[in-house]
Amino acid sequence: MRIFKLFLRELKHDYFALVSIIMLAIIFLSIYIGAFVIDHFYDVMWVTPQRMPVSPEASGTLLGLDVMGRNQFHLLFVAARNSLNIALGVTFFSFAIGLTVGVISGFYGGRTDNVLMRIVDTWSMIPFLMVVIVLLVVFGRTVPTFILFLTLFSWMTRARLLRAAALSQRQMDYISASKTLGTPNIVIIVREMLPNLVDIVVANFVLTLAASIGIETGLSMLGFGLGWDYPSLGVMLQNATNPMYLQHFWWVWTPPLILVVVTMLCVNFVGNALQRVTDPKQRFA
Amino acid sequence: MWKMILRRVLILFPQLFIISVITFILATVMPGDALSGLVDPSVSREILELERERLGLNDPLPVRYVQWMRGIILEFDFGQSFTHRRPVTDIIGDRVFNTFLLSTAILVLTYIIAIPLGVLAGRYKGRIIDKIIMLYIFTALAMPTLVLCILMILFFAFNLGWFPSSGSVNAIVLAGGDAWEIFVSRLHHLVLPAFTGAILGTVGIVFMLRANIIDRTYSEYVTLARSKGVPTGVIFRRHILRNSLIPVAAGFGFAIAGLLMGQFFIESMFMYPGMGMLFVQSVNARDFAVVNAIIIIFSVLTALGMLLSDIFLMIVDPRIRVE
Amino acid sequence: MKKLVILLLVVMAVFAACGNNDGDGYGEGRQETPPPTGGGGEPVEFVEAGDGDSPMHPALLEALRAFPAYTTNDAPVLPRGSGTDNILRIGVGTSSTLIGLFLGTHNADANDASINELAGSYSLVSWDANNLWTQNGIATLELDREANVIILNMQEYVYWHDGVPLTLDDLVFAYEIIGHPEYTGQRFSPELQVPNVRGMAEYHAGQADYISGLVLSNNNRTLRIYYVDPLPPSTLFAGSVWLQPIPRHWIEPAIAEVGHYGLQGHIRARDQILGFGPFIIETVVAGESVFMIPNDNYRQGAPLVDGVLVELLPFEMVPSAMRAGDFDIAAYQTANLSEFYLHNPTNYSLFGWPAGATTIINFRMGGFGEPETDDDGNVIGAARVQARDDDHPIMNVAIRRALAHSIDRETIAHTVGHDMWIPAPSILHPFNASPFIDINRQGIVFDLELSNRILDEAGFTQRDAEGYRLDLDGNHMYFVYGQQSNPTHDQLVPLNIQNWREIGLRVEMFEGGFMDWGLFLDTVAFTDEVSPIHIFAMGWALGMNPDPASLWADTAQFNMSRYSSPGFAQILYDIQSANAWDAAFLADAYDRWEQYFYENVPALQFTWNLDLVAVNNRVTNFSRVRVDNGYNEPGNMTTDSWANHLIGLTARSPYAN
Repeated sequence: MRIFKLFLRELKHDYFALVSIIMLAIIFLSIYIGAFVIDHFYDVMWVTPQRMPVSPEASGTLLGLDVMGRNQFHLLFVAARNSLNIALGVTFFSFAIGLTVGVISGFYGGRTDNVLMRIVDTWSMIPFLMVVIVLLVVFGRTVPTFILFLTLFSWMTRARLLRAAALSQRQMDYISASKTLGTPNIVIIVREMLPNLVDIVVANFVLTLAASIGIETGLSMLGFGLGWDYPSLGVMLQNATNPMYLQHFWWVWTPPLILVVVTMLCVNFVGNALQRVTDPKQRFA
Repeated sequence: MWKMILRRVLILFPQLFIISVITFILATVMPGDALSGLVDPSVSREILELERERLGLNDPLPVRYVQWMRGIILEFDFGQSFTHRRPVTDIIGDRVFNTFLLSTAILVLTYIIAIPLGVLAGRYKGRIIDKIIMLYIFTALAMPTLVLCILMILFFAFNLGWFPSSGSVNAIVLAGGDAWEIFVSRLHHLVLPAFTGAILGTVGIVFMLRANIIDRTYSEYVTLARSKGVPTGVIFRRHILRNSLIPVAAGFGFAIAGLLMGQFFIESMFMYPGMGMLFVQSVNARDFAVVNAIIIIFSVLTALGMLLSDIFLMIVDPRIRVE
Repeated sequence: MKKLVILLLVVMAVFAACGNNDGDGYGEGRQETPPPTGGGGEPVEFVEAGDGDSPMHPALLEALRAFPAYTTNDAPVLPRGSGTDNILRIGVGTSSTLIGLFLGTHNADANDASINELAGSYSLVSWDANNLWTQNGIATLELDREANVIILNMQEYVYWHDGVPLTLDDLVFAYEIIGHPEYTGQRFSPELQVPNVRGMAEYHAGQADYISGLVLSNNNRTLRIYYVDPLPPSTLFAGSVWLQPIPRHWIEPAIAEVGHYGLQGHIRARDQILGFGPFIIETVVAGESVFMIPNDNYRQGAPLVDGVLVELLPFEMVPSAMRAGDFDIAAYQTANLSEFYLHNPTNYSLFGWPAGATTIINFRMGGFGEPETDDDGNVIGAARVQARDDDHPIMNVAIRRALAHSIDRETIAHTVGHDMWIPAPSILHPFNASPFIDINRQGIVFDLELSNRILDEAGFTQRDAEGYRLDLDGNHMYFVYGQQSNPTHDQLVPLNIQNWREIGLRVEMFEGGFMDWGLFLDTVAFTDEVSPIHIFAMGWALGMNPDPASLWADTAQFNMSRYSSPGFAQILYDIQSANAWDAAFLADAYDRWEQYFYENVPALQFTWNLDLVAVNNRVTNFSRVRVDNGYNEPGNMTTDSWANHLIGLTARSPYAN
């Protein structure tokens, strides 16, 4: 599709994005493959309690052991995979809902638009983070609940974005032409409008992914994320909130931190590049 | 235009109603209630049951909702906090000032830092200064809040000893000092949390400002002005800057509402007794009178903030009025 | 009457003996504590443990040896009037906030209670190292078993902070608050012998204006408390009777303003409490800190410091803050110990003492039945424990013993506990039951082989495809372990599950993971039904009274295992019975109690813990043991021993590392 060709062209000029996308590919692949392999051969969650985390030198492993005696290197892969799964899940679902609502609202306009937008507005007024925390406490902190609640509160922005896009597309001639021909609305939406929205969807998808990783991490660090028994990057980073770990046990929190920072940076660069591509004025090329 | 504003305000009420119902149901569904914290062999079960009965915890949901709403609207009474054993309004009242102070400090610092940075980055796009600023932004974006808090505390509070690591004011000074000393003490306690918050808050603004400036730099009217021979500096100041600042200013309305919201992460780590920390503690203690009250207050503030932003935009940007 | 006089004389003579306080370090500083007397008036010897002059368990003594119990700083103390240099700074590591309700009858938070000891009122009668009442406090206490009365006599002249004299009428007032139908606190409890006071039932029902069983005389310096039911032997122990006075002249106007129901919100119960303690509250910064100034008219002498500042901070920050010299005194958690050993600071030291809290691992074996009702349907008796009827293997003693012997408390005590914890050899706890613990008893030890043998001998020899044992009927067995997450359980639970897998028992976590605290309480503590959870652990603070009835009676809400049996009930009855006034009988009953737990394992006490306090080197006269400070009473300390009026500071600011 057009956007990818443009994107590739853009990449040649934007070195940051080029490097980022290569790194992202490496990261994603190694995480998923690595986690699969590790899960198969090792029992990552086997516990040998320690008094303090054991350093890489002392334990002979690459990244040392944490206070429960778990190999941090293995844990990193599994945790990263879990975090990515959650982030992907949230992004995918919030887009699914946001896309539907936004496009319908933008395409039909009028009363439908008003009603849907009022709903979106009301829903946006609820302080998102607080309610998510409360919901997690009420319904338990498992992967499905996490994805469910984060999605519940992030679809609104997508909806607004896609509504704006749909609104501007609606004015275009090709839509009017199809309507004149008598094509059913549904067909118009799916066959003609959606492909033109793909640009925006893809660009925003990547940025949302970054945001989701950040939110899951933040919630876990505050103590409202998944518990100790379900490894995720945020849970591993929880240790960084303890000054003792921060100063003495770097191997427990530095690898996940670097991974999170690098991943989010790369995703942001790529996402920005994609966004620039959709807007001719900002392109480098 | 006024008609539109009025319409927006009117819609606010049913929206608030729905939010209040949602938050109320949410908080009551939580397992365990505030009395669960009193697990102690010397407390007999009958007493706990009586307490529950008396506090009305066993009444049916609609009844409790009506009671709660009636209390709020008529008397501004959000009920009793179970863990603190005082009216919720008292507790929130204690903390509101602190949060207000912190949020204002963060807001001021954020804009002071972010606007120059954003302008510079946008103006000199592609040059070294832009790259440096962008690097800072991306790092701040990716850095988890809590890690930054701890780093600040460890370095500035413990290592260097320049600032206190917790609290909002020094109790000794509060007891014996005069107004100036108390004021200084408060400022002293504010510096670290405010800076931490500001560093993290600049990201969005710098980003948006920079993007706006770049956007306008390539727009048609600027190209026209340039071809007319207007000096770059003048173009920048009169056309680009002014227009770019508008959305930022609109965000200001939203941020003002956020003044009272408090930042949980920062307040919790700095042990700064404000609304954010109160929220986290109350959720943990299942003190849902407080939790409900805070959620409702924030929802109202968010709604007002959105309204303010929209109104401001409408006033300033004629194109939006037509829509 | 004559018996009473003899009892009185003997008791007074015996309790008048003071201990010796010589030397440095732990052990020599302990007081010799005269044992309580039995019904016949002769002192009875309890089983001696440890050093001979200490009733403490040797294992605990061993762990305590690593830490001093009091400071030995001889430098001159800063004089009063030195200003902010001479302010004692106390740090409280917490994950919550300062509630600020200090009033003795109402406080529900440990921090509030500690501040109340410093700036408010405390028990009028003092107690010794064995937690038995002594006679050198503000008032003397006599227990007349036959007449079922407690007689208090004030022997000191004490004044509230505003100069008004303290009288026993203030104690009567405290009872009037607690017994009031609109009282909102938790002190109206049988463990404090409050409902048992004659006339309390009528007062509590609102039918009387005063409590007839409280009789003042001698210009309000003598109080007789008459009881309805016979006093149990546990009343010999401190903390078993409510003895904290509340200033009538100060609080009564507050009640007139807001009623009993609103008292907890009134400022006179909070920032402006009136006490007779060594310090007076000056400012409270809501939720963060409390600043107190010294009470120069304190009964034991004016404090040496110019003020006390208590501040809250997140508990992970405590070691760093102590190292930076931010605080003089701060309580340490075991989680902070890693940092202590890593940094090896030279500017402060740790002082240890047995902690007054415990964790018990329970096996849930039943639920509560319906309460007894009379013919009209009115409730006349509490609900009783009903054993499980689903024949679950947890009811089998062999299974429980095997489970218990596979709990690796030693490892956890070494890792999370940093060897500050000792796997408890007994269900009793040295905090309140030291004299009754048999030091020769080893208790349940971690032994997987033994567990396997127990199971094999009991007939659980068949295994399924995955290697888990089948029950006696050949069916699959599984157990549900429910627990909330905290640093201890994060290690203990997976370790237990692993070890239990080794002996062939399948244990799964409730719904696959750690539970939320509220959900945990609802499914475990506050439910009458047989919970789906079979194994869980709960912790709480201990009182000074070792009587286990509040935790194990078959009507006790806190009978966490929901367990009862005739032999069990018999021992509980014996401990509360009139025979238990005889020390030998009581000791034997507790011995049987320990033995029962060893053989039947309805529950397992997890560890005996030490708690630690970090004290900066500039502090002097800080002590966690009761020292004879030259006054007519050992220092009246809270278990945290944050401060007493004698603590002094020897430098202008806390040393930094």
